[in-house]
Amino acid sequence: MARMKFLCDADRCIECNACVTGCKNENEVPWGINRRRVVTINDGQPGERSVSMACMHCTDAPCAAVCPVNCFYTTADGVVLHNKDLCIGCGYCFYACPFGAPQYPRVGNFGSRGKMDKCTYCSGGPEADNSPGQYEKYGADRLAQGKLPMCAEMCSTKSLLAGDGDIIAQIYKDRVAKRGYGSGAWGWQTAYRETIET
Amino acid sequence: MTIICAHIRLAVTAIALLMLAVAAAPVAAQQPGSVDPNAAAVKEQQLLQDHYFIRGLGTIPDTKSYVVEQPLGRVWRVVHEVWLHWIGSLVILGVVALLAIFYFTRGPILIEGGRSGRTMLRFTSIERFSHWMVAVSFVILGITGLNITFGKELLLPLIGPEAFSLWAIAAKYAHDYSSLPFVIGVVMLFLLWVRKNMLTAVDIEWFKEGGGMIGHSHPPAEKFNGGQKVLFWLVVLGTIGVAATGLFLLFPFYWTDIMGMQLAQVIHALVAIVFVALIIAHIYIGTLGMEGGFDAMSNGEVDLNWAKQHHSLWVEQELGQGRNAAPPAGATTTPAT
Amino acid sequence: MRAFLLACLAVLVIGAAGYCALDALQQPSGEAFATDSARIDPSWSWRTGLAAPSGSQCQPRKIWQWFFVDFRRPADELPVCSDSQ
Repeated sequence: MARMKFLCDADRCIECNACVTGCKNENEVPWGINRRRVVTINDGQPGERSVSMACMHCTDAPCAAVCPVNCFYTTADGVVLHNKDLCIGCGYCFYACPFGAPQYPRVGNFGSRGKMDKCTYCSGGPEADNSPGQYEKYGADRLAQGKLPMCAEMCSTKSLLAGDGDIIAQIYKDRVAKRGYGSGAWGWQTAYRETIET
Repeated sequence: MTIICAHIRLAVTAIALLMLAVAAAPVAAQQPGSVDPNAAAVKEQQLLQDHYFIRGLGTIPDTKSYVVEQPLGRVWRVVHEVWLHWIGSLVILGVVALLAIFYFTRGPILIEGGRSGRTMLRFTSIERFSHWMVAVSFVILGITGLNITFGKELLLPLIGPEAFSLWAIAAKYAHDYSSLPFVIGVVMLFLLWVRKNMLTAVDIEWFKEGGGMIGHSHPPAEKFNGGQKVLFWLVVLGTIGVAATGLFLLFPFYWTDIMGMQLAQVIHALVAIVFVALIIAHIYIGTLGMEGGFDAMSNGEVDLNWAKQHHSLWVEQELGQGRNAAPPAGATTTPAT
Repeated sequence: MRAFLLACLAVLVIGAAGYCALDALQQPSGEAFATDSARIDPSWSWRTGLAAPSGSQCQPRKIWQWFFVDFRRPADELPVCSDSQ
């Protein structure tokens, strides 16, 4: 069984935001919600690095652990999804998430910020695969169609890799070996408790 | 003509050689390993060690999103799921257990000589109204607050996820909006009672004699005895604690970033746990623990024997100033000589 | 007893008042997390270069300013009027 992960190669990311645009388009993400975002570290200085960040679908997801209504579940592929019908919008998943993945449709006081929305690895939610109800709430279900998430497909430099963890780790390792440098798989230690030896 | 051609040939050759040299240079630079663009770059683990989180610059107006990674979220998860869980269970169940032991060994504190049938006014309607506003809000806040930590463990298996989710949404709103009458009530109680709650030498004696709860002495006490005064100040401090952190939680990220929110939640929970335990003990003493105690808050009139036993100095002050209310039985109270 | 019932009522009333007050502070994230310059002021459109706008503080640009790319703006005009459409 595949264990789906994301890997953003910070040395290749050119901050084009194609991943952000692709995600927003594919999932009809409303204004103000940013399932995926690109953050630039040391902007304008030597050693500038950009990282594309969304839900990493962690092993032993902290968001799932702190949810007061246990609305999260992990699929057989390792994708962490949640049920918007059960979500009470309390915001605890955001405090626990190391990557700031949960998003809320309203700004304001505790608990009235609406149902939490986050990257679903383009694999929808608890409703039936590719049903209109599922699309309306969670966005596209590409995984059920045998496709990979839109962000990785759109990446102009193939810095954002998505797919089975072993496969993309190997791709990254080969890349680093060939070009001679690599800043490592950002977020892997925190999300999956593993690093890629290069 | 030939000289011009020679010059042209020379120039063309020179340019050709120059172009060859220029073209050769990039080839040398493309050998793998000779250039490391990473040399000046930041490393993820280095940033995490320095700052405990990684923050950069983004292009969207939501500035929270500029934090790439904050592994402290995993620490907060352990604190919330494990530590608060255990501390909460032990403290609250522990207090209940201690009170049960006390009740079944010492029993309720009875009025010596029985009720006299004559009463005097202890709390006015404003005082009782404020107290009950605080009490009702506190019970709502306590139950709904504990639901966040313990609900999914205790209630969810009983009623199922959909029903529990509806309950949790209602509980969350009740918690948010009961906080306002709670704070207003505590402020009112503070203004009404602060002058009567300053600790004096009488209270030190009261504590030394165990407040009459350990042993059978009857230490004199003013309108509020030492234990009540300590409760008063703990309630004021506790309210400041939960209200301040609660305000941060109510308006997430208005004044602080994510680490501030995590800290606010932990402090809110710890203060609330102690508060709940304290109020459980307070409810005990006001209902089961002491015969005649509940009258003070139910209709404001307390039995004279109860008052003389528990708040003798206050009775003297009240009778001395002739300020006691007419008892319901019609009999008049005799002033102290 | 009356004090208790009045107190319960007070909790409900004050709670509801608090709800109304906080609800007024709510914003959809599409508004909260959008930049001001992304707002289009419909009265400031190149079409109004032909006719005077009503109710807008931005002076309409003349057609020749568009054709010949004149970025100057009157000194008394707000900077936001220069924001792109």
